[in-house]
Amino acid sequence: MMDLVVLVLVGVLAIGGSATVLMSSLAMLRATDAVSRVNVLSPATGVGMPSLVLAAWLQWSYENGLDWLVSFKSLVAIVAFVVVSSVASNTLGRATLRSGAPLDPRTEPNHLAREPD
Amino acid sequence: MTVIIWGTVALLATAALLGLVQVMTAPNDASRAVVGDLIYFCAVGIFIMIALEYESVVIFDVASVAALLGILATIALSRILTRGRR
Repeated sequence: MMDLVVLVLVGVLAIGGSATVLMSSLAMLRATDAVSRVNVLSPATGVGMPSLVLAAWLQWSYENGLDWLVSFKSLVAIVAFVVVSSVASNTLGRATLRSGAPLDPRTEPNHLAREPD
Repeated sequence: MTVIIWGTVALLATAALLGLVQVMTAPNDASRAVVGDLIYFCAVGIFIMIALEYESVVIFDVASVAALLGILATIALSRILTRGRR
């Protein structure tokens, strides 16, 4: 019985995570400008990758027993996927704006377009 | 279990292929930088799943190092985009 519960949980986490990555990849196709592509990357790194690592951790610790080092590494991976990639996306978004990539005219609010008051 | 793993790998591979298509059709460099980042995450995800299939404990080292250090490429790309200025 426990096998089934773990199997379903790992399946939901893994398939759900990779479906989120696929969804953000599809959304990138539909995005109109580079800044919204940077924006759309966040579901993949915020939800998709951490749930993949969670699925791997759950499956591994179910098979081989709970190991604190493995749990620590997967915790570091999950926090890094959420935090570090957001910082990098912010940097990339800022660089995109400064490099003059065309912005969707419907972007609102766009404080950078106006003169600094 | 193997169905889950190879199903996840298939989904991630599709996402990576879509990303590759976008890299070729991207209008400007900034979009290519972002899509490159997405393909990187797909590759990390595929590695995690295949390492899980073969029960090797290296999964978590790779995942944490990839998450921590892998974003340097994005920072480098954003610095290239602004031609070296901050």
